[in-house]
Amino acid sequence: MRMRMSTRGWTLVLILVLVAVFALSISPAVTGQAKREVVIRAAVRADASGPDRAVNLQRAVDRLNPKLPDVTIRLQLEEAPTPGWAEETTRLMRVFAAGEGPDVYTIAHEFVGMFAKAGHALILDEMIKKYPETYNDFFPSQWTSVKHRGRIYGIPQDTEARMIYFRIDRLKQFGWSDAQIKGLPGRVEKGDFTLTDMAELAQQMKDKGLVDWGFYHRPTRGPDYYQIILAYGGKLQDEKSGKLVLDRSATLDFLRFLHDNVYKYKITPSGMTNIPWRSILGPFSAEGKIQFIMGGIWQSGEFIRDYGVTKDPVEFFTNIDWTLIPSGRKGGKPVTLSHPIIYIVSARSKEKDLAFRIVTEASSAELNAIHAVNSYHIAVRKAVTQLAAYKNHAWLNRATPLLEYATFIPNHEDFGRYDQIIYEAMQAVETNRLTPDAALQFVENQMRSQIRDQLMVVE
Amino acid sequence: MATQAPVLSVTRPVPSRPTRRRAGLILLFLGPFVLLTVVFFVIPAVLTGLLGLTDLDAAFQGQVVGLENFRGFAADPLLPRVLLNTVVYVFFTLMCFNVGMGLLLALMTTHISDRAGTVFRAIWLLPRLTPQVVYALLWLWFVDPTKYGLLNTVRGWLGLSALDLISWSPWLVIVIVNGLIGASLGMVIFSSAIKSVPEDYVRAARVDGAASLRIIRYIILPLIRWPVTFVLVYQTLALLTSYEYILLVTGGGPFYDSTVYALYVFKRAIESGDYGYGAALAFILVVVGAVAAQFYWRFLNFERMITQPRIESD
Repeated sequence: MRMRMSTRGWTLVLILVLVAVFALSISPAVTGQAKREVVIRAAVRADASGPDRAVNLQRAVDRLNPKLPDVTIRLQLEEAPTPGWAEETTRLMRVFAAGEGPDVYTIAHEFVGMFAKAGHALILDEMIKKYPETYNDFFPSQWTSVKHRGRIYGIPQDTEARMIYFRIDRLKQFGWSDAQIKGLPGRVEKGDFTLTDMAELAQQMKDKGLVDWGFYHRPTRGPDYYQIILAYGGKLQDEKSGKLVLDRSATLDFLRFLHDNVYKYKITPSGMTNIPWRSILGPFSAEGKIQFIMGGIWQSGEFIRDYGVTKDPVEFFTNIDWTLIPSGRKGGKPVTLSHPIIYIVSARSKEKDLAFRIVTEASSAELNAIHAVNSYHIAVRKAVTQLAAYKNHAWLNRATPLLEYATFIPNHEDFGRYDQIIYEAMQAVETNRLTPDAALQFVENQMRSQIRDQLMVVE
Repeated sequence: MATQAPVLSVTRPVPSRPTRRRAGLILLFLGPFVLLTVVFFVIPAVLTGLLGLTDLDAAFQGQVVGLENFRGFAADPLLPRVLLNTVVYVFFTLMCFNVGMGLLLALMTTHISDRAGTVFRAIWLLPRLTPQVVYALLWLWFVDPTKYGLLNTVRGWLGLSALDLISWSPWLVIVIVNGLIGASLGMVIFSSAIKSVPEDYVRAARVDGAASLRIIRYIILPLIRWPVTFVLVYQTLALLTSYEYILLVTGGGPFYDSTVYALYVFKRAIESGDYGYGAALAFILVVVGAVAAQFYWRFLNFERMITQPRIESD
């Protein structure tokens, strides 16, 4: 009898266990153990000036996983130490060609056309409509930077303003009054203080021995140079056809400006493109040895973080201030250039929806603000500007109004080639390897042979 | 016995055991190297040649364009300058450093005490042991054109103004940067060769009253002719395809002043994304390398060099 009871009991226990296991297996929310694990591969260029760009993707996954009922995302993050965004683009292209492309990646916006044309970027027009609370909040102008032939291929991750930084203390030593110094950005806005005025002022200050050099620019390839072409009234892209434009007269003015800075005004060293960054940013910000540098808002963060400049905004802006890039001609419009870094979802990803959800989560106001505030980048959406950390950030507050003058470089698949040719020409005129006229001829010949029918040459 | 011989020559029997063994040995010894050469040279060279027939772009998309890329060489305005750069770079690096400095170092370090010579050679090997990027970064710090670079700091102490060495003479920079690395290979090979020179030759010369320079001129140099030829040939081919230090230190600039052919291939293929044109350029380099190797083999009598030791018997 006892034996029979025992057998029944065991049978009952066994049935209960089986039922329990079955129940647990069909309700993953109870334990989470049976969730399907999905690996999402992300590639974000290792960039000391914005490490949160990558970390935010991991933060997004951490926030997203508890919300997903049947999937656990495991993020494989690759941070390649490529020297710049152009190099990161060619690296990613090779990775995709080898069939190893990531699900999510970041690029500089001007390369979106190249990825779109190659079929590595997912069209996002429909997907962004699913998350209006996030994407309707973006500044409308930002969408320009992620479009290629009218379609949206990316999500803006950050943006910035570029400017001419200048030393206030040296201007005072030169004899300028407080009112003159405070009025300088206003004069630039009105077109009353041009690039030539800047060069002449820098020459006088250098001649007086107040600074070692008058004007520095970046030593590498990058978007800054196009501000000068635009400041001389140039065009980079034809709106109707979408083709790249070589504006001969504005490009010649740009090359002459660089050449004159070295050989006429002697305010820029001929080997400007051989100077390491640290010998540019440190001497300007910490030592006040350079009067003007063409830079960007994120470099204020570098002045503070890497070169020991005060983080007290009042003290900072006692010695350093900025203006828009002055126009090339009296009465002309000043310029700044925004260069958003954008997230792309791969068109070849097997988990496009999940990849896009990570991007959406990383674009939340809280996470985006972490990157913006820490790296001195300007917000891409309104909600970020309402957060206390952003609101109280003196540098970002002062730089945001510059965006009224924002321009972008073209999202064209051949812009990488265009950019390489312009950089070689500007290096050639600064080092006196070519005269400005010969450099313009070099630019035209190279562009005609490399960009071919996607190029329009205008006078 | 005499009647059997013709029968044997006509029937051609199955190879005997020693013949099969010989074939097996050949396969065993040569097989891996033939395989390596095919996998890492022949196949890539053929693929490069085929890619050179396309207009493959940065997105790895393109069409077959036949010989258009090769015809494009004539219209490439930068190519003559790049070729001249390559000749100058290879010649001066080879003569001044890889062979010249290597030989000088070998002669000097074998004419002092063994211990001092070894220490001196070890110091000269340091650049070769340093990771390439670190070595290049040290150079960039040295030639920084502002007053913050090492060279200009020293010039500042001497009351001299800052010098932008890269703009002033990019050739000097890239020849020295490559030469300091390249000299060490020659130094090691020449030192070993000099030490193999039979001691009695040198002693006999000394007894006859020959000074050190005459011993070097008439005994050592003729006896190490083969190692010198080898280094000359090997380093010529190596320099033709090398660009990494130039890329890291000068970037091929200012403008195209220090862009050599291999770097131009890299720039066009990798930086500009013209993989088709870059592959066509690279294929020419492969052909030039192969022709040069054949030339050396035939005209410098390499076959003779590798058949038996030359130092003792020549």
